[in-house]
Amino acid sequence: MKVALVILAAIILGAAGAPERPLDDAVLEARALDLFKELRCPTCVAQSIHDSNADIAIDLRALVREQIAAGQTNAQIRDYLVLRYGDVILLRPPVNNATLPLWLGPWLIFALGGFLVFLALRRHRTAPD
Amino acid sequence: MSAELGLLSLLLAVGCAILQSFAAFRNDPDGGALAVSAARAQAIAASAAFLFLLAAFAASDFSVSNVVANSHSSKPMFYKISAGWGNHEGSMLLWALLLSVYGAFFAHFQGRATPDGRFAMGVMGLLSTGVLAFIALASNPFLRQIPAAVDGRGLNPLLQDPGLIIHPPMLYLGYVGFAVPFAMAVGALAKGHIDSDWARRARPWMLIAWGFLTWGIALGSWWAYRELGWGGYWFWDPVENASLLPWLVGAALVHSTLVLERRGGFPGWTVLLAIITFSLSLIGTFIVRSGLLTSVHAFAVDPTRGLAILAYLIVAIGGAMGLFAWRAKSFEGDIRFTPASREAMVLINNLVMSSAAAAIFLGTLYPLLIDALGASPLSVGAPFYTATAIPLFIIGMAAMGLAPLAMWRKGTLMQALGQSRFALGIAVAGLALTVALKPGSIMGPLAVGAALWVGAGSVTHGIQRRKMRWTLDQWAMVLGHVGLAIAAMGMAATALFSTEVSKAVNPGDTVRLGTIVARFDGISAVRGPNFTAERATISLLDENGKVTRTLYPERRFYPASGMPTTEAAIASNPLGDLHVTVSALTEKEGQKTVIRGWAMRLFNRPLIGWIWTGAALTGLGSLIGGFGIGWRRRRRQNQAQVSAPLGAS
Repeated sequence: MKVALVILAAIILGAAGAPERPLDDAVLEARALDLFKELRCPTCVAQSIHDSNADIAIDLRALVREQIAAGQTNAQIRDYLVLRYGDVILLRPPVNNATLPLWLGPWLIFALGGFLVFLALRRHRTAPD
Repeated sequence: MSAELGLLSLLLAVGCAILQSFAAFRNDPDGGALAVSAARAQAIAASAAFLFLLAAFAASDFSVSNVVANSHSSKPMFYKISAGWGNHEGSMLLWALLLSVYGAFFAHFQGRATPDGRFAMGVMGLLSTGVLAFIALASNPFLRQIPAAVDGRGLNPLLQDPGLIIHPPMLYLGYVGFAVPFAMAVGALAKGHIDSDWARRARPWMLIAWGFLTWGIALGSWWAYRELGWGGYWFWDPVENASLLPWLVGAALVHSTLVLERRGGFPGWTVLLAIITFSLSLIGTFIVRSGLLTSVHAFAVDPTRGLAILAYLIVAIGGAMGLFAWRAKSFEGDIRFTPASREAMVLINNLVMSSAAAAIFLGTLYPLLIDALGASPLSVGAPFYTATAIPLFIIGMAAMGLAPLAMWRKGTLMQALGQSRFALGIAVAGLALTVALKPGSIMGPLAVGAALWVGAGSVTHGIQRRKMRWTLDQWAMVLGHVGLAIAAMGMAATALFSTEVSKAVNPGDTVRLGTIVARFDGISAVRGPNFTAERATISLLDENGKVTRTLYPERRFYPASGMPTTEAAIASNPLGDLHVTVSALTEKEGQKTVIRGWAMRLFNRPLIGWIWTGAALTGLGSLIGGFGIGWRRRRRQNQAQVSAPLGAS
């Protein structure tokens, strides 16, 4: 009975989890892990494929590992995935005309705020005593 | 029956809220007393409505649509009841209930004391009226369905976790708490007067709200760490970001109010921050709840609800902002201070907190903007925030370490740095050590240095004052800052030194990660109250091969929802967590899926527990400050009232 339960359980489990085998080469595996963190799991809200255990994330991890093992560079793998899924796969938005306001915005706001703080410091300034 | 009584209570609460506003805005001398009574009655009616909803959930009343959609007869009682606020309608009711309760406390303690306080009571009444009416008309949790369902449709099993039961109420206590300073700011603007007494009255409410918000966010992150995926604690997803925005601006608010209280400075800016903080709370709750942030299209699914929310936001935020634009010119605080004084440090805090909030706001809304413009969709994830918000936080922490040692009004940078040479030494040593351990990284070592700088700065402050009696403000500051330093240290260490390994294993195999050796002992099937699970047995071994600890990661399957979840096993100690998950390696053989073995993933996350420990301390400091200062002020007033007639006689 117990054995039957284990087998049944294993079938349920197996249906949900695809094979996932880490790369044997530790350096390549480390590269894969870093790349996982930059790629978005397409069915999740904001998780990377590193942080998710959705089926698609597991598949994509396998795909990235395969390509790394096949000697592809990170840039080549990214390009391939962008071709397949679009820019939405990248958690770090590419820098281009459409994303310039996004990348510069925070620093422009900080610079403007810094200027206002500078003015406030001058306006309220008193001699140190 | 309880559903009808609940709706009745809700309508009663709407009536009380309208009466409260009406009574508060009238100018007759006793209008205040009626408004206070109405605020109390409103809180009681709203509480009753919420309790009736929970009663329907406890009884598994499957003739109530909301219970059908969000509960299931197989759930443990605890989770049946908590399902009452684990859904859209129920959580809205909780939000409204907390608004009523804060409103009643404000009315009771401060509502009648000043003209602007009375106006604020009216504003609280209006805020309540809007939310309660919205719930009754467009988001009614008490709707019946005919015929009744046989059983419920369950609840996301991921939500079946104690961390998530207290997370929403805690978060809402924070969000909603900022309604009080918002109403007080509107009151001050309407009456055209603000002074340090306003700050003294408002600051406890801000500290209480901010403390609860800190705890709420930390609880959410702790839940994500244990339940979602593989050990991430913060995903920068829209919902998390929405809670971070009022937290950041609220932190700026708490500090600028301090300057208003002590020196009478920055009144206009403080009032603006109070308005923005609550506006962001509103946006956080309602836009998230309406689903707008995950997809623009979700808004269109239920246009009535969406438009009602939008109208409420426009009236509340737009009204307050309009009043600010009209009246704030008269709020000038002409104070003098040097560029290295406490006031200047507060300005830097405000600059950093506002900029970081703006960066996160931009990052969260940008994909929606791109989507609305029809450009090719994009994601804004962790790498963006690491490149924008994190450097800003490090700049802020540079000022934060100096602030407790800087003097009010006076002082030079050299004096302040001289006071902090001990902290400076520790920070530089920590930074150098981190660079040596992890060459090539920049942000991580800077974060370690910043955390040590802030922590050591607070400790220096404490040592300098060890012979004095500490005020509650000092306790709040030291706990708040030390907690933040501890949390920052945890985040930096986790980001820098986390290691992981995943390996295919057979029973009896061991996997090594650094000094950790884990042995896979096999899988067994277990049965929970409403799930079945495969439980792996993992033994941690010491160098002699002796078992020091056994861990049981699981993969659970909830038949009611058909969803599998991964339950990681976590071995925690103060220096870090070992996080273990197990999954099956399968292969297709014709029609059948065959198990070829198992894969074990080990994560070592140094100091990760410090993140929540630090956040807990920071929240505690804020709450001690808020409740303590509020209570002392109250006691002093009572004493003044008692002694006044004696003095007259």
